[in-house]
Amino acid sequence: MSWWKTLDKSDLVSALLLVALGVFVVAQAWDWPYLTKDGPGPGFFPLWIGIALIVLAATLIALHAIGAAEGKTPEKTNWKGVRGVLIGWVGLMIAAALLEPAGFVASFVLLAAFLVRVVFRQSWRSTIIVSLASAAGIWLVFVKLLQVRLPAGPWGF
Amino acid sequence: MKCKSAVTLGAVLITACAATIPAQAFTPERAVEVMVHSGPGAGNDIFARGVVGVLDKLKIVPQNMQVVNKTGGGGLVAMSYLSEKKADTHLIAVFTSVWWVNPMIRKEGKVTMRDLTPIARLVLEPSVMAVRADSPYKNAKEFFAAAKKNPGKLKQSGGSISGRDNTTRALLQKAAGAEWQFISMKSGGERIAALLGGHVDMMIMEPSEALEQIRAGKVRVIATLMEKRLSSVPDVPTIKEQGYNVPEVPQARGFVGPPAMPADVKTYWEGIFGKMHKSKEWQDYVKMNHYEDGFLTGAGLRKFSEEYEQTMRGILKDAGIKLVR
Amino acid sequence: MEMLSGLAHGFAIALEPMNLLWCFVGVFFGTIVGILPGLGPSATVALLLPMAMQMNPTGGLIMLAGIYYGAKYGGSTTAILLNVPGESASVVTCLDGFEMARKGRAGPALGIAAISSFVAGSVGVVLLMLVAPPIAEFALRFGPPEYFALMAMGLSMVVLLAGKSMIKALLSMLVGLWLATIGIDLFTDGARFTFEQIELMDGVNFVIVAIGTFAIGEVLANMSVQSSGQTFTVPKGLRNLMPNWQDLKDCRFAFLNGSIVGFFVGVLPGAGSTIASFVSYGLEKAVSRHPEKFGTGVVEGVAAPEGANNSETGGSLVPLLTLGIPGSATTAILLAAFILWGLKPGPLLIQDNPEMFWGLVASMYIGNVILLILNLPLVPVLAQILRLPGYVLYPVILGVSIVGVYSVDQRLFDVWLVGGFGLLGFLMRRLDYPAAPLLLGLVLGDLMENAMRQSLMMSNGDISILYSRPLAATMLLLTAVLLAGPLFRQVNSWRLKASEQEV
Repeated sequence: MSWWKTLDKSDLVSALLLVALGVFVVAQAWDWPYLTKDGPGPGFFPLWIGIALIVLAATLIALHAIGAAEGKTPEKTNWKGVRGVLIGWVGLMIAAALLEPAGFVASFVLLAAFLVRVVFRQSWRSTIIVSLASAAGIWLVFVKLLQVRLPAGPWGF
Repeated sequence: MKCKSAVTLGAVLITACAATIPAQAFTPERAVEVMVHSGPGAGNDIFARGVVGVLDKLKIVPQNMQVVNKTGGGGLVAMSYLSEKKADTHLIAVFTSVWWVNPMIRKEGKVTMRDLTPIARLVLEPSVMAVRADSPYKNAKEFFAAAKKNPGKLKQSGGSISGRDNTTRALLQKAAGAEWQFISMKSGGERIAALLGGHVDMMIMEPSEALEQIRAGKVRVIATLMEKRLSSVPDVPTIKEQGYNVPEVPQARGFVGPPAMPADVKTYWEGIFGKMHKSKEWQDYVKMNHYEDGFLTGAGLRKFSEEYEQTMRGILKDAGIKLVR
Repeated sequence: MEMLSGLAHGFAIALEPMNLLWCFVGVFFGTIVGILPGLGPSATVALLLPMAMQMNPTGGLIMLAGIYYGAKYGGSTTAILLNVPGESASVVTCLDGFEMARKGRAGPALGIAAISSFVAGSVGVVLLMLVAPPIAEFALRFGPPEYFALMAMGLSMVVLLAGKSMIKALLSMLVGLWLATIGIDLFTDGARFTFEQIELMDGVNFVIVAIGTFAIGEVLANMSVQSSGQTFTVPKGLRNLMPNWQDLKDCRFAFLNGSIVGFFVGVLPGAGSTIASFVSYGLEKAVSRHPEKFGTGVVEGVAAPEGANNSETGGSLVPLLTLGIPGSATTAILLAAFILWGLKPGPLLIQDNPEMFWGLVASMYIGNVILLILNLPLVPVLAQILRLPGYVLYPVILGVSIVGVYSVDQRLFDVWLVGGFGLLGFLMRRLDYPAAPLLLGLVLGDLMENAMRQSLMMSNGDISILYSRPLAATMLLLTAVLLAGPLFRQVNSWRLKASEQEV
């Protein structure tokens, strides 16, 4: 089973997830009317989409397995630096959570500072300048100039 | 007996004081949000902007009134938002008939009109049956006859099946003893285009939509669906005059406030809309948009709200739509 | 000849100082709004509606229309420089535009976008002026079966957008099609995949998915690189910052393609500029002599969609002005503006208000010229944005994206959603699943399903309605032809591989 080792696991996982999605879609669509007296019902399209997802994702897995069994080495997915990405993404989600309680400006300053300092590893000086300046710039353009309504924290902006 | 008279004196004094302190009447102190459950450009949005425009002209509201769009779920997002803003005294919203209907048919709609504070009903929007100008049907009878001969072959374009066009269709089908196909289309533009392009045979429209097409000679109204004839198309007989007993299904528009709205705030808005209703600018606006005046507040409005809910329940059930609440 | 006199009168109106000012205000605001992701022309027109109400109808209309087509110019800027679509239709411009920027050709990309927008936008106005009424009548013949055929043609574009792995492109498209089914079913009022969340009842907003997968995905992707220096190379010298003659020559067909496709798709109510851009791009790739280069940064790949989304503005005004039928969200707001001004939108609008119509048409010519003059010199300036270090650029993009997304409906839910799609966009990048087919599926899935079910309702279940009508049949045939080329090549390459193995 040495070919199993050369399989690109990430591609495999993604294909399996898509199969799972397909199964989920088919399962949900099964309960809905497939055909009504007026034509295809709400279950028609999703059912076929789900089936197509399962078939194609399975084909992808099969192609990979066949390729690996024949000894071909596939291009491995490049996961370099993914840790930095995930940290940044978590930061984004935390900022989203803070958006309504703290207001846009405060949560954005925190997010920008976090990104500049932790993810992009810049100096404290750059961090402070960039986060404050960009927050101010965005606030001026969107809230003042374009009158867009953004959540404001307890301090009014 | 000293105690008793002391208490009585005290009560009299307090009442006298209370009577002389003027009730702190509410006036808005900052911008007022007028919430609309549709996106910009849709019927409700235009209505809200029209109202704000008239109020601005009359200058009876001392603060700025801003139209805010909160779309989603056919009004459910707006209703839910309104119910969360209990303490907000500077928020009112436009209600339409779907505010009664949608909570009845959607599980997600946990807020109903009974939870909110209706302020005033302003207008009723009539509807008419329209066909293309070059179609062979000159009145409702001819259309129904053709539908009877070819059941399910004639087509009507409209919105969702819980919307007014379909519930009206259910009533018409029952009264006429005929049936025809209903084709849902997402936007008003597509529905009119389908009618004009000959892809469907009939459409239930609002007079404002129909009138320009009539003026250009593209569309013919074969029946109006209210109790009385419409001033905008006085030559067209009502469906009842043509012999079909079809009840009116009005589309009502008005204003509603958050739950437990303080009495003085409600009185203020009732007063404002009352003043607006009497003004010439408002009467002109109603006429220009072919609405029917339907001004109603207080007890009358409450009665309307309850009766309307019952009527819609019955109509939806007859149309075969499942109710969840 | 009454057209010429009408046009002359229109120019007289459009060149009045106040109207010129409103035109400038409109296109300027439009460009800014177009540059900012998330904030689209419809939101801005709605925002400025109260102000426009205070003006006279002609001036107000000139300004609002200016925002509408101005936004289409601006949308390409961030699409090319940062892989961030400024408005939905610019998604297609990201494909080749951003690649050109990475190769140091940001200037020519921006320049070609501006020029193509100008050419196609002007052609759109000319067509609006010349053929509006007959085109509107023709468009009425498009019923559900024809829409279905058009959407099928659009979806077949995925074959052309495929790139390396056809299977992954198809899977991406299927996910997009699935996302399109989320929401309340139009025909039965049943909820599909809404997980009982009110916010999902209207489906997943295209803008959110586009910004998520492209903008936020791009930012996330760049968090893995230590960027302390400049983001990309920006060549010096004006000559390298503008398109050269060869570029212009290469785009000859793209200009035509964009103008015609954009206009016609715009005329159809409900179709939209995103579809126009995709179809134009696909068509350009299909007739190109080097289709395999699309997606790596070819200049026609920018010119075609950019032209299409500008010409679409002219097209979408056709049903509005000749029939009173709004075809898109922005034209619906314009319709509302007409009503609020006391005008009566309908087939007699132009007849009743000729000065307004001609004034508008003339001001659109002027507006396109103003936009070209505004945008072209800005190209070298804007290209310098790429000199900014990543740690400045990417947080700003995130901030602007959040604002853009929140401005759509003031919902926190949308911000969560865009974050989720951002992660998805990043993962798709790493796993080599192309994002464009997902967006294509999302845009077309809804329309295609509706069109098919409406058609079958019309024919009481008779499936032949989909291919028996002449217009629909022609488009389906065209689809087959478009698919034939790449499919043939794919099958051929499989055949060759198989024969190699036998040996």
